[in-house]
Amino acid sequence: MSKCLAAPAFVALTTVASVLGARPVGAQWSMFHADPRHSGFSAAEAPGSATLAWTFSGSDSIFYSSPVIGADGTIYMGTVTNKVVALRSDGSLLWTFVGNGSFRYSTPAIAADGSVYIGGGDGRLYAVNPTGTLRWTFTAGAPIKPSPNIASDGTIYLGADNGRLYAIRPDSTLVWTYQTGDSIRSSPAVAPDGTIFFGSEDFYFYALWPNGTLRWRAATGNIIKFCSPAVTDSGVVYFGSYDGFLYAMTTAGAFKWAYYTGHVIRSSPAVGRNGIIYVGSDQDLLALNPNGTLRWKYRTSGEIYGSPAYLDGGDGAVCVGSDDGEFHVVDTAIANEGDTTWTYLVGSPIRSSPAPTVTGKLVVADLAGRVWAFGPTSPVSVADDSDGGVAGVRAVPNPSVGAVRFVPVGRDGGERRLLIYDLLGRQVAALSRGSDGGYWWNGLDKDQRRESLGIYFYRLDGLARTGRLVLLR
Amino acid sequence: MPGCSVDIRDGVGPRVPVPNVEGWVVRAGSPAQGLEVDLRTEAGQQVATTTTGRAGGFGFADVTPGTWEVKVSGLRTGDFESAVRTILVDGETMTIPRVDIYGYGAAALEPGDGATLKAPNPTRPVVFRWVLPDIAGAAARVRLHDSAGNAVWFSQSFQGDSLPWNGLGNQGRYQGTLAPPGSYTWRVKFELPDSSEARVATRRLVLT
Repeated sequence: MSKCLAAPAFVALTTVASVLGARPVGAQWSMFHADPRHSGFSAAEAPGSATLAWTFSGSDSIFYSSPVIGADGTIYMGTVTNKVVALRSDGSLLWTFVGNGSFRYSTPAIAADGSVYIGGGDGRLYAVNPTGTLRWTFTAGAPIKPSPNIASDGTIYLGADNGRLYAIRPDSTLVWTYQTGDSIRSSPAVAPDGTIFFGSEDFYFYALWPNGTLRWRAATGNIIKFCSPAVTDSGVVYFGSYDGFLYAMTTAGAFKWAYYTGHVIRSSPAVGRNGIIYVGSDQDLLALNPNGTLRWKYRTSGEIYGSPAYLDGGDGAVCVGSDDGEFHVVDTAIANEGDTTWTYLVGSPIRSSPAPTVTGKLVVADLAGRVWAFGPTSPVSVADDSDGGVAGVRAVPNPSVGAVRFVPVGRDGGERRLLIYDLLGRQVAALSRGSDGGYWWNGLDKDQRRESLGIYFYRLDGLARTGRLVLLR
Repeated sequence: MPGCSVDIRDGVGPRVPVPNVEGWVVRAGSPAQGLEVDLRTEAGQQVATTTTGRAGGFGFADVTPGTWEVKVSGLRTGDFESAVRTILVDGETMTIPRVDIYGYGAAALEPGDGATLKAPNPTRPVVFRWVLPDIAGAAARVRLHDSAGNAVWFSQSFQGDSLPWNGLGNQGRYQGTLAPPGSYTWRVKFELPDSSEARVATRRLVLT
């Protein structure tokens, strides 16, 4: 991965509160992209290193359905077959609910009473009790792929493949529907004034009044699919289209700007500190200034289908998974913005979106059906390497299984060898720099024997700063 | 040289120089005589021209290996304005799949030629409408250029009969900006299931 700065660092003076509005610290991530506005914003702090707290391995793949967090810390998500999985905050399985259709796309939404709503490929909206039993279903008659949203009055909004947006009461009765020209796979966002925003595959982006009538609509040059809008308190709504543009419109319907990425946008934008917008497009995580100019671009090695989460604690970080099988946490502090804070190789594409838990973890799911939780109090509680970027490389992932990559970071260390030492201080490997500026260690010593698991140290030849690495097997 | 062209005489065979690229043009299945056929580079530069014979045949001699376009121009009402087939010449004599110049009802509908409209934006788009040719699997693309011929906006390929344009350019210097008031041209290109492309006449559009 790498990043490039598009322009000299730009410091906006807008405060967080003025852009996003006051929100409680540690607010729940109770639905897709955090909240009814789908801001993708959390006051939580991202773990400072790739410390793995726990993993959960399910039997089903987890696709776009993303973890959400209940008030008691329970973690919910759907699987590509027909299961909703509830995990305790320590990663143990609480219950599994089995529906009749796929939960491949829809992310659950958790109501104030703990009910879990999720759309199914069988055309039903499921309401599941906090205990994992079925409360009711609502039949839309066409597959429901977007994630439901729950407005402040409890109304549930969701779209379906039949092009209809539904407003449903918490007792499963229908309030109204609005017909668009094609499938709806974009999850609706709800502004503080109750306006509902979503895209359709009929090329249009819609703004509906809370009574289900059209407030305005805007044309894009292609379908809007998967990308869900993000609404700010300052009256701006951001959304992407398959035409390659990320759009900024006022909530009243005035065009502000459009940034051309040149690639389909499936990822949903998140809005961070100072109103900076983060979105995935192609293999890039983009950071855009509130005026629509590119701030920086962070390159991953795979397509970004998922949606970034912005965690505002500390210096702030933006977190996103990629089809390269790595989970990326990217620095947003002014001095280092766009730099890698850490990455973790999960080994399977990540298309779901990460979520911060109430216990300070950061969870994300992958296509192999594993849920990964990063943060403190880990059973493998091994700190990441101590290299703050001065040594020129960082071990990725760390801890590592079998083999480890060292990626360039900070000041260029030059054409130095990377030396690996065991706990007794014996040098076990000397690695040459690859063409990408990084190094690769296959876990073998100089005699091609596999090193035992444990802690190793590394440093660039001739430099004093040492990093620490954990080899798991 | 690809500039040499040759007429294939029905039942007689080609005269020298012997063509190494030959083909036939039909109109709704029947031989189409007297149509201009151009050999062009991938960039659209014409390098040779000929006319179809009585059986609709044409040929080009000494076409060097590479990728070329064969463009057939329509002649009658109901024809496409032109149809293009891209070919890969490998040095061997080749017969390209026949080209059907008949439009099968394809037409550009709206905005009308020379229409004057307010410059579009996302909430006030211009909607381009057309009739797809009555050929299963046909798709359309809209292309918009400014008065100097610079590309402004190319739509995606679409199997429908209308598309909104929100005024944002996605080509060249227009990329990411709303097209300003001025004179433009637009046309619909059809992608046909036999891998050829065809188009209808270019239309003028004035944005105020």
